[in-house]
Amino acid sequence: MEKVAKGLGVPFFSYDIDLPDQEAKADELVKKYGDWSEDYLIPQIFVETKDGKIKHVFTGYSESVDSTKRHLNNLINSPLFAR
Amino acid sequence: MSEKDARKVAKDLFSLTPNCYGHCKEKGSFEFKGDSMIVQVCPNRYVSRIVTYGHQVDQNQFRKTLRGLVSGLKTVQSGDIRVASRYAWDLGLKRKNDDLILHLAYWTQSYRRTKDERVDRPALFLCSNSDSFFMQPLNSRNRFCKDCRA
Repeated sequence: MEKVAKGLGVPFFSYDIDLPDQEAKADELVKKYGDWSEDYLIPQIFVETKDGKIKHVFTGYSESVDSTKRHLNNLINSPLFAR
Repeated sequence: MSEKDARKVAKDLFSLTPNCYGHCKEKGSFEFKGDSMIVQVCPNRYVSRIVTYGHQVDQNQFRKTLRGLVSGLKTVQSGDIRVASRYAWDLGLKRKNDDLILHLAYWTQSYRRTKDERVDRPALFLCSNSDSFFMQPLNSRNRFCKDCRA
Protein backbone atom coordinates (compact mmCIF):
# COMPACT_ATOMS: atom_id res chain seq x y z
CA MET A 1 0.00 0.00 0.00
CA GLU A 2 2.90 2.29 0.73
CA LYS A 3 4.06 1.85 -2.86
CA VAL A 4 0.56 2.60 -4.16
CA ALA A 5 0.39 5.78 -2.07
CA LYS A 6 3.81 6.81 -3.32
CA GLY A 7 2.70 6.25 -6.91
CA LEU A 8 -0.34 8.43 -6.35
CA GLY A 9 1.74 11.07 -4.59
CA VAL A 10 -0.26 10.97 -1.38
CA PRO A 11 0.95 10.56 2.23
CA PHE A 12 0.88 7.07 3.75
CA PHE A 13 0.44 6.26 7.42
CA SER A 14 0.61 2.80 9.00
CA TYR A 15 -0.42 2.00 12.57
CA ASP A 16 0.82 -1.20 14.21
CA ILE A 17 -1.63 -2.49 16.82
CA ASP A 18 1.19 -4.31 18.60
CA LEU A 19 2.85 -1.01 19.45
CA PRO A 20 1.05 0.70 22.34
CA ASP A 21 1.64 4.23 21.03
CA GLN A 22 0.12 3.36 17.64
CA GLU A 23 -2.63 1.07 18.85
CA ALA A 24 -4.77 3.94 20.16
CA LYS A 25 -4.76 5.69 16.79
CA ALA A 26 -5.59 2.45 14.98
CA ASP A 27 -8.44 1.76 17.41
CA GLU A 28 -9.82 5.25 16.88
CA LEU A 29 -9.81 4.88 13.09
CA VAL A 30 -11.41 1.45 13.15
CA LYS A 31 -14.01 2.49 15.74
CA LYS A 32 -15.02 5.61 13.81
CA TYR A 33 -14.81 4.42 10.22
CA GLY A 34 -13.97 0.72 10.01
CA ASP A 35 -15.09 -2.78 10.88
CA TRP A 36 -15.00 -2.48 14.63
CA SER A 37 -15.18 -5.35 17.05
CA GLU A 38 -13.30 -5.85 20.29
CA ASP A 39 -10.65 -7.99 18.59
CA TYR A 40 -10.99 -6.53 15.11
CA LEU A 41 -9.60 -8.02 11.92
CA ILE A 42 -6.44 -6.59 10.41
CA PRO A 43 -5.27 -5.11 8.17
CA GLN A 44 -7.85 -2.38 7.67
CA ILE A 45 -7.22 0.28 5.07
CA PHE A 46 -8.66 3.78 4.91
CA VAL A 47 -8.37 6.62 2.44
CA GLU A 48 -8.77 10.31 3.12
CA THR A 49 -10.29 12.25 0.25
CA LYS A 50 -9.61 15.84 -0.80
CA ASP A 51 -12.56 17.11 1.22
CA GLY A 52 -11.18 15.51 4.39
CA LYS A 53 -13.59 12.59 4.47
CA ILE A 54 -12.19 9.28 5.65
CA LYS A 55 -13.42 6.13 3.97
CA HIS A 56 -12.84 2.52 4.96
CA VAL A 57 -11.88 0.49 1.88
CA PHE A 58 -10.56 -2.87 3.05
CA THR A 59 -10.52 -5.40 5.87
CA GLY A 60 -8.35 -8.52 5.96
CA TYR A 61 -9.84 -11.94 5.31
CA SER A 62 -10.18 -14.22 8.31
CA GLU A 63 -10.19 -17.21 5.94
CA SER A 64 -6.46 -17.05 5.23
CA VAL A 65 -3.46 -14.82 4.57
CA ASP A 66 -3.61 -15.91 0.92
CA SER A 67 -7.20 -14.67 0.63
CA THR A 68 -6.16 -11.35 2.15
CA LYS A 69 -3.32 -11.03 -0.37
CA ARG A 70 -5.51 -11.93 -3.32
CA HIS A 71 -8.28 -9.46 -2.45
CA LEU A 72 -5.82 -6.74 -1.52
CA ASN A 73 -4.40 -7.16 -4.99
CA ASN A 74 -7.92 -6.65 -6.41
CA LEU A 75 -8.19 -3.45 -4.41
CA ILE A 76 -4.83 -2.14 -5.60
CA ASN A 77 -5.77 -2.80 -9.23
CA SER A 78 -9.29 -1.39 -8.91
CA PRO A 79 -10.52 1.95 -10.32
CA LEU A 80 -10.41 3.25 -6.74
CA PHE A 81 -6.65 3.67 -7.03
CA ALA A 82 -6.51 4.49 -10.72
CA ARG A 83 -4.16 7.36 -11.45
CA MET B 1 -27.68 -5.13 -3.53
CA SER B 2 -30.31 -7.63 -2.49
CA GLU B 3 -29.91 -10.48 0.00
CA LYS B 4 -30.12 -12.84 -2.99
CA ASP B 5 -27.16 -11.09 -4.62
CA ALA B 6 -25.28 -11.15 -1.31
CA ARG B 7 -25.82 -14.91 -1.13
CA LYS B 8 -24.50 -15.37 -4.67
CA VAL B 9 -21.39 -13.35 -3.88
CA ALA B 10 -20.89 -15.27 -0.62
CA LYS B 11 -21.18 -18.57 -2.54
CA ASP B 12 -18.38 -17.46 -4.85
CA LEU B 13 -16.28 -16.05 -2.05
CA PHE B 14 -16.45 -19.24 0.01
CA SER B 15 -16.00 -21.68 -2.86
CA LEU B 16 -12.33 -22.12 -1.98
CA THR B 17 -10.81 -25.09 -0.18
CA PRO B 18 -9.65 -23.96 3.26
CA ASN B 19 -7.12 -25.60 5.50
CA CYS B 20 -8.48 -26.73 8.86
CA TYR B 21 -7.58 -24.23 11.57
CA GLY B 22 -6.84 -25.32 15.13
CA HIS B 23 -7.23 -29.04 14.57
CA CYS B 24 -5.62 -31.03 11.73
CA LYS B 25 -4.67 -28.61 8.89
CA GLU B 26 -6.32 -30.95 6.36
CA LYS B 27 -8.17 -29.44 3.44
CA GLY B 28 -11.85 -28.94 4.14
CA SER B 29 -14.80 -26.99 2.85
CA PHE B 30 -17.26 -24.22 3.58
CA GLU B 31 -20.79 -25.57 3.95
CA PHE B 32 -23.82 -23.27 3.65
CA LYS B 33 -26.47 -23.79 6.31
CA GLY B 34 -29.85 -22.08 6.32
CA ASP B 35 -30.22 -18.57 4.95
CA SER B 36 -27.03 -16.95 6.09
CA MET B 37 -24.64 -19.31 7.87
CA ILE B 38 -21.42 -20.79 6.52
CA VAL B 39 -19.53 -23.47 8.44
CA GLN B 40 -15.90 -24.35 7.76
CA VAL B 41 -15.35 -28.05 8.42
CA CYS B 42 -12.50 -30.47 7.82
CA PRO B 43 -12.87 -34.13 6.74
CA ASN B 44 -13.04 -35.05 10.44
CA ARG B 45 -15.93 -32.56 10.83
CA TYR B 46 -14.12 -30.22 13.21
CA VAL B 47 -15.60 -26.71 12.93
CA SER B 48 -12.85 -24.13 12.34
CA ARG B 49 -15.13 -21.19 11.63
CA ILE B 50 -18.72 -20.14 11.51
CA VAL B 51 -19.53 -17.14 9.37
CA THR B 52 -22.73 -15.20 8.88
CA TYR B 53 -23.26 -12.87 5.97
CA GLY B 54 -25.73 -10.45 4.47
CA HIS B 55 -26.08 -6.91 3.29
CA GLN B 56 -26.16 -6.17 7.02
CA VAL B 57 -25.23 -8.49 9.89
CA ASP B 58 -26.34 -8.27 13.50
CA GLN B 59 -23.42 -9.22 15.75
CA ASN B 60 -25.62 -9.66 18.82
CA GLN B 61 -27.99 -11.93 16.96
CA PHE B 62 -25.03 -13.93 15.63
CA ARG B 63 -23.66 -14.31 19.16
CA LYS B 64 -27.06 -15.52 20.36
CA THR B 65 -27.25 -17.98 17.46
CA LEU B 66 -23.79 -19.35 18.30
CA ARG B 67 -24.69 -19.64 21.98
CA GLY B 68 -27.79 -21.58 21.03
CA LEU B 69 -26.03 -24.16 18.87
CA VAL B 70 -24.77 -26.36 21.71
CA SER B 71 -24.38 -25.89 25.45
CA GLY B 72 -20.60 -25.82 25.07
CA LEU B 73 -20.81 -22.47 23.27
CA LYS B 74 -22.73 -20.63 25.97
CA THR B 75 -19.57 -18.72 26.82
CA VAL B 76 -19.20 -17.08 23.37
CA GLN B 77 -18.61 -13.38 23.99
CA SER B 78 -18.99 -10.39 21.70
CA GLY B 79 -15.19 -10.16 21.60
CA ASP B 80 -15.05 -13.58 19.96
CA ILE B 81 -16.80 -12.25 16.88
CA ARG B 82 -15.05 -10.18 14.22
CA VAL B 83 -16.67 -8.35 11.34
CA ALA B 84 -15.69 -7.37 7.82
CA SER B 85 -17.15 -5.32 4.99
CA ARG B 86 -16.62 -6.59 1.48
CA TYR B 87 -16.66 -4.13 -1.37
CA ALA B 88 -16.86 -4.47 -5.13
CA TRP B 89 -13.23 -3.36 -5.44
CA ASP B 90 -11.72 -6.05 -3.21
CA LEU B 91 -14.04 -8.76 -4.52
CA GLY B 92 -12.97 -7.90 -8.05
CA LEU B 93 -16.54 -7.01 -9.11
CA LYS B 94 -17.46 -4.20 -11.44
CA ARG B 95 -20.28 -2.20 -9.88
CA LYS B 96 -21.05 1.46 -10.36
CA ASN B 97 -23.23 2.58 -7.50
CA ASP B 98 -23.10 -0.13 -4.90
CA ASP B 99 -19.56 -0.52 -3.70
CA LEU B 100 -20.49 -2.21 -0.42
CA ILE B 101 -21.50 -5.72 -1.37
CA LEU B 102 -21.86 -7.57 1.91
CA HIS B 103 -20.96 -7.74 5.56
CA LEU B 104 -19.50 -10.80 7.25
CA ALA B 105 -19.20 -11.77 10.89
CA TYR B 106 -16.72 -14.49 11.80
CA TRP B 107 -16.43 -16.76 14.81
CA THR B 108 -13.23 -18.81 14.82
CA GLN B 109 -12.92 -21.77 17.15
CA SER B 110 -9.66 -21.75 19.11
CA TYR B 111 -8.80 -18.29 17.82
CA ARG B 112 -8.29 -16.86 21.26
CA ARG B 113 -5.47 -18.57 23.06
CA THR B 114 -6.80 -20.45 26.00
CA LYS B 115 -5.12 -21.86 29.07
CA ASP B 116 -6.72 -25.14 28.13
CA GLU B 117 -4.25 -26.72 25.74
CA ARG B 118 -5.30 -30.31 26.41
CA VAL B 119 -5.63 -32.44 23.27
CA ASP B 120 -8.89 -33.81 24.63
CA ARG B 121 -10.48 -30.46 25.48
CA PRO B 122 -14.12 -30.08 24.38
CA ALA B 123 -14.49 -28.84 20.81
CA LEU B 124 -17.28 -28.15 18.33
CA PHE B 125 -17.95 -30.57 15.46
CA LEU B 126 -20.65 -30.82 12.77
CA CYS B 127 -22.29 -34.19 12.22
CA SER B 128 -21.48 -35.90 8.89
CA ASN B 129 -25.02 -37.21 8.63
CA SER B 130 -27.15 -34.27 9.72
CA ASP B 131 -26.82 -30.55 10.30
CA SER B 132 -26.37 -31.07 14.03
CA PHE B 133 -23.52 -29.49 15.93
CA PHE B 134 -22.08 -31.42 18.83
CA MET B 135 -19.24 -31.23 21.33
CA GLN B 136 -16.67 -33.93 21.82
CA PRO B 137 -12.98 -34.17 22.74
CA LEU B 138 -10.77 -32.38 20.22
CA ASN B 139 -8.79 -35.56 19.50
CA SER B 140 -11.85 -37.75 18.87
CA ARG B 141 -12.14 -39.33 15.40
CA ASN B 142 -15.93 -39.72 15.61
CA ARG B 143 -17.82 -37.80 12.90
CA PHE B 144 -21.40 -38.33 14.04
CA CYS B 145 -23.64 -36.68 16.59
CA LYS B 146 -25.19 -38.69 19.37
CA ASP B 147 -28.49 -39.22 17.51
CA CYS B 148 -26.82 -40.48 14.35
CA ARG B 149 -24.56 -42.81 16.31
CA ALA B 150 -27.55 -44.42 18.05
